[in-house]
Amino acid sequence: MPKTPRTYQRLTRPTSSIGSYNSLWVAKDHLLIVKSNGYSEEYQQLQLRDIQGICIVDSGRRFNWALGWGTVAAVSGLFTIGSYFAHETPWVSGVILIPSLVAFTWNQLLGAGCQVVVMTGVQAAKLPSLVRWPKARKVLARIRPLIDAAQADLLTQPVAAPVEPPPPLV
Amino acid sequence: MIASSALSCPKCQRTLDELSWHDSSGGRCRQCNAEFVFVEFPALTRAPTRVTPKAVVVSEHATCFFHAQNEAESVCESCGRMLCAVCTVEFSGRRLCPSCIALARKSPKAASTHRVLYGGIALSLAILPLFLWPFTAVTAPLSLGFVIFGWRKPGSLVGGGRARLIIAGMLALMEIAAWIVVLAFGFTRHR
Repeated sequence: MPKTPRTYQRLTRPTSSIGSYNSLWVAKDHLLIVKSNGYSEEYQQLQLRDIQGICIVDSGRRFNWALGWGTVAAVSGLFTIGSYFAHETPWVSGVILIPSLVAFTWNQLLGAGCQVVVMTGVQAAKLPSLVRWPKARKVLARIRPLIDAAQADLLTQPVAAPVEPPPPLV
Repeated sequence: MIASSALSCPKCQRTLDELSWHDSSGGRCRQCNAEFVFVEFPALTRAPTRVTPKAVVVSEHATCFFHAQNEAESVCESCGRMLCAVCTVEFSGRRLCPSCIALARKSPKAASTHRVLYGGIALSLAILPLFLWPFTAVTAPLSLGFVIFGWRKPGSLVGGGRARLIIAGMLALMEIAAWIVVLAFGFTRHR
């Protein structure tokens, strides 16, 4: 039996937030935002044809995580140095220091934080699974041709005239 | 600049004024100082399609819920109200009425659909109580119940539901079998 093609292709791996995780998928004609807590899923569809623009804005995500992991690494590092000078083996502080340093480095490697918002005629939907610039650029490069293809016929339509502001009241 | 008049900063939610834009592809919000990139698509600049409603000619004809003088041409796929050409809005691949669109804008949850993941529930009931194993006497049959109940239910839109149900079902059956063995062995030993 031939295998049926999958309707959705994954764009992002699940990004966790408090009590849930979010992922982004693309189908032939729409994007799908999936918010899951493991027991139920909520979906939000964004038709590629309706997307007017995508806005990516800086966020303090990398700084906040760096601050958190940096503090943990610094404190455990101080304890490790203290243990070293006291001629003791720094087991506990070492066990905390190494994962926090790995997490700190990983956070730096993921790139700067961002928020991505998709604008349609009636809403501005946040893409919660896109929180880093490199990943956002990668996903954008992938969906941009799909959106352009979905809106190809709109290029032949007349451009909307800019709305004139109403005359001042006298 | 078309975008600047309509776009709000995603970070501080204030409207991005003309001075916030470096060019049409981005800028810096003057309120929160956040750098942003904007990618524009043809849908932003297309002229809105003009629709002309049909007036009711015969009194027996269905009329629009919002405009009694206009003939109904479609039905809202969310609330079922009859709509004229003016009130029919194509939104996320569906035909909706303005009040359903307004509701969707007010609470994004209303616009999103929802599915229960029976596989996830069954798998949790089969695995998590293993740390407090006496509870498996209750949770294993419950897990099996969820597997049977959820088998015919629609799973996740993005796949992976059936595999969890199968694993959960196998685990639950193993736990039930283990309980049967333990109880039978204990019963025969007591005799």
